[in-house]
Amino acid sequence: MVQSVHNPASPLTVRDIHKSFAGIHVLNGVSFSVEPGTVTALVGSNGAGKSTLINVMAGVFPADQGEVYVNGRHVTAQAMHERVAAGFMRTFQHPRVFRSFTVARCIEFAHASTQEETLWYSLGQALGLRPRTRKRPELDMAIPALEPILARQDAQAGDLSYGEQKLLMLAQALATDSSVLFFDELCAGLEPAMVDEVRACIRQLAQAQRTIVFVEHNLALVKSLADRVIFLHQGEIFRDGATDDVLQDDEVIKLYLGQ
Amino acid sequence: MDYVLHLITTAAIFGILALSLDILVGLAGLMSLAATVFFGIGAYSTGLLMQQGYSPLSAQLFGMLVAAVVSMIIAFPAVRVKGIYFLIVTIAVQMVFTVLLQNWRDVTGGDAGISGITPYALFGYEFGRTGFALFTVALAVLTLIFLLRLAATPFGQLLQAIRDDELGAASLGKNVARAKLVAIALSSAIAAAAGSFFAHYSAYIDPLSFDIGVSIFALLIVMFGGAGTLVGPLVAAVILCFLPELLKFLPLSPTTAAPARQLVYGLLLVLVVYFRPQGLFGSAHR
Repeated sequence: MVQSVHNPASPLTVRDIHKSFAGIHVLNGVSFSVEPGTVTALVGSNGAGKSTLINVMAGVFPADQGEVYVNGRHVTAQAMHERVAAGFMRTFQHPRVFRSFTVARCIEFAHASTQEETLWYSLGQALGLRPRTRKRPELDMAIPALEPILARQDAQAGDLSYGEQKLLMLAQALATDSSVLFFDELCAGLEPAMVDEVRACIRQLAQAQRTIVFVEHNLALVKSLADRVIFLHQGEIFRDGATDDVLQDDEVIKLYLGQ
Repeated sequence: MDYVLHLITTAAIFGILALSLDILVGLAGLMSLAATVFFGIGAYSTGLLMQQGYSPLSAQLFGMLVAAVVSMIIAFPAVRVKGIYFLIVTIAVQMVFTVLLQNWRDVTGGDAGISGITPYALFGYEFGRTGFALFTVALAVLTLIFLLRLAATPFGQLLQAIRDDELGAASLGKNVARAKLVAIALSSAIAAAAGSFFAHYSAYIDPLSFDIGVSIFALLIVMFGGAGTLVGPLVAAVILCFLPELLKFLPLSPTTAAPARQLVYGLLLVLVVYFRPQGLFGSAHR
């Protein structure tokens, strides 16, 4: 059920999110909102609560308190698939691909509509009453970073390298046409040339008015890519502002780099 | 000849049961030891409705509907768990079902079961032994073709994606819980159809025909043939139904023949598990 509109202008808003595990407070009242077409980096030490925040936003587990809005829809109590329908798409730190699928099938699967995936619709195809429409994997923009993957359409996803699987995960995310993309350490484990390609890809997506939020430990990448940095510390937002301001903050440097 | 027809019919019925189970185990990655519950619901629906004068087809369709609805009711809370926990739920369901068949005597006849079930007839046409054997073989092959085609549709792909990575599928916006429920209902309805054929063919059903041993045998057929391949379980049903009979031709004394057959049967299964853990037709990617 779509509930009241919170802030129609913001693609993603989280308000006062709290989450505890076995009495340990992991998130203590996290609130922020992002603007359309912007790139926001979520930075913090290990244990700062970044992964928990992603999982709460994505609906992997519920928040103890607080609200999540995606494109104005109140999705706090909604399942993962409903959040994706609202426009929120996340990737994972470690690739999650469908090992028995080919690359083409993975992207085709990501692109398939809910209606096509109902049993009734598919029964029609299985019984020959409805034509089979096999879509070739096409994205709505040419993205050089994905060319190595798109060139290997018949390769088995389980046979791809770690970096290729991450690119495939990115291609799947883009095939969903979601307006808010959350990348969890997308560039970790990628070779430098590939990181440059992914950086260009993210810029390209932001120019196309997709809203990007990403978790990243590589500060050089954060500096070159993010419009804004949210620095999480002990489950709270410690700093939130323009990238250079946050990354040059003495207390952030001390907490994050220990200097 | 009658004995060969018996083996063919049994293999075809268990082949359909194995195909129904492969939807869950092989396509959706839901390990189940409750296949016989829905096989039994189909059989008992047929037994009970035939006593009330219903036609075999209407009794069979009713059994399929009941199996689909009951499976969805049971599975509604169960689809939230996965892996070994889902398997434990199915074992519990199977055990409750057996106790129910034994103790709900007014309906199921208890341990005495239901007897006098007439042979299957379609729109008044009665199959002979040969006709029924051919009919069940044809239905097993048609079920295989249907499921192979279904596996290639978006719904089939969704099930296979859930098997490969459930969280990954959910994160792409797929309604995983609903897909699992629908797969369970479809699988149960097909198992019930097989159970209905079994009831007509056996003419007599009792709780022993639907206990956990039969569910283990159905799962064994699927794993032996190759979960998710669909062709494999159907071939495996033929092999595992015929094999014990073929082993009767071993030149052994009557006292050692039975245990020796069990030994050879078990050894062949162990060899397949050791050398082809993905089953006869399985792929290493699954």
